[in-house]
Amino acid sequence: MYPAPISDYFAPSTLEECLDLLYHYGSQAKIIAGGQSLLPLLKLRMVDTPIIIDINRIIELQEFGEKFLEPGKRILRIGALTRHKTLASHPLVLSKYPIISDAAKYIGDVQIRNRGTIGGSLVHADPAADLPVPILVLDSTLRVISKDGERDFSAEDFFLGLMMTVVEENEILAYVDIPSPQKGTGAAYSKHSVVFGDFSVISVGARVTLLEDICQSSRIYVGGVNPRPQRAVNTEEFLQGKTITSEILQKAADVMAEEIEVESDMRASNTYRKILLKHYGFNVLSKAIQRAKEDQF
Amino acid sequence: MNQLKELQKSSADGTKTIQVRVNGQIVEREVHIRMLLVDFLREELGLTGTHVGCSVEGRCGACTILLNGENVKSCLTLAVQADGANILTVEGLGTPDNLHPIQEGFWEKHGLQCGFCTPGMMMSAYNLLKVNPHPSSDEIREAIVGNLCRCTGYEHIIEAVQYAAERLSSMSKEEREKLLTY
Repeated sequence: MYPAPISDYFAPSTLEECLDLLYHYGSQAKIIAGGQSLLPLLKLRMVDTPIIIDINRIIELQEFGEKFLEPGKRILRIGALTRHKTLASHPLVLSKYPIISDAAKYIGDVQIRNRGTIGGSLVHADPAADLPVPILVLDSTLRVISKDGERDFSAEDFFLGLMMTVVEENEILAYVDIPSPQKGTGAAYSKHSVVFGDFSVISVGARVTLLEDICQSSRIYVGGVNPRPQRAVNTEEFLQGKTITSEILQKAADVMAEEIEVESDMRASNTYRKILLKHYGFNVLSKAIQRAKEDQF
Repeated sequence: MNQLKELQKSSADGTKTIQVRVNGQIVEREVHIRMLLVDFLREELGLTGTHVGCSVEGRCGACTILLNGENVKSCLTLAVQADGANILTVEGLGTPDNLHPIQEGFWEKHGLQCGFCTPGMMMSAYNLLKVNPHPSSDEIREAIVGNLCRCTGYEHIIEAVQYAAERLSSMSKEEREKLLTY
């Protein structure tokens, strides 16, 4: 199936050139990186764009690694062009930020992960996508750039709704900064999909900080059920200050299933989703706590 | 902005000239920007071993090729994006007289029925064997999760990949590299 006609194609080799192009053609142009979501949309005529800007050659967007923003404030910087394959298998991610590889390894299949990028996934903002949840759970900061300047957003402010983010037509998401985990913290992600590698029916991501088995703080998001991942605030409050036992986690999962609004669709009924949520909620919290205890983050 | 206008002029008619290296040969063609890489390979270059299956979402994997050393779906890539790239298609694996060990595996273990998914399967197997010389059956399953087969139960395909892995590991390092480093 052919995509809709495209009249112009640019492949800038620097970020500056790309921002110039966006400044001039922003409203008529679409950015392509991996293209794993954009090409199906072009073929189905759900997107019709006269101009394509291919960012694959821009080295500034390929940054990946830990750095100090200021003394004592270490972050993992993930450039927008980082492929899912890297996120799924990089030793740094596996050892310190395993929740990200939890999510990345379940995106599509090998071919999709070889090509797809974190920037593409986040800006596409599909409610059932895998990466938004861990990005939210880890309190990341996202840097959006245009010719007029730079804007930083917390992940919470970045996602607006169904396939909508704060990124304007003349802007590009440049990178994601993830704060380095503190001691006693663990995080995990899991999802349920109809077929392996498919979009999620529900997904859960959680981060827990423990001090001698007592929950100091937590951050929990549920994806796949709403226009954007929903934060499980009541569950976080429920866990606060409690000594963690299997029973408490079971109850926390019940609270989670209670507070998250789920809808029925062709993939699953809301009743089934609630059952899934209890199951995955418990498993993800257990895994996060296990990692916190082993200081595996 | 002079430079940009220049760029725009060169392709505003919806076409662009690209140069790619396919199975060792450098080719240059003027293509429509909206042309998919799979259509470029099949229609422009006549390499019809790369198949079009699902055609929309890139779910079936029959169009899998190696792009700069990694297996990707050529129906989810624009031909213009491959400008300057190094591509390996199933035609580049071996010849009827001298089969690539992967092809030999599919032949010996009957890793196919209708054969439609086979080229894509072989390219994914290539990508796997390049980094993992002794894959377990689970690792093979994971590697071909993006390649659908509607005829078999995948068992023979897995045996075919295992056969290829054994053949390759019985070879010298040089021979192996020659057969796996495109």
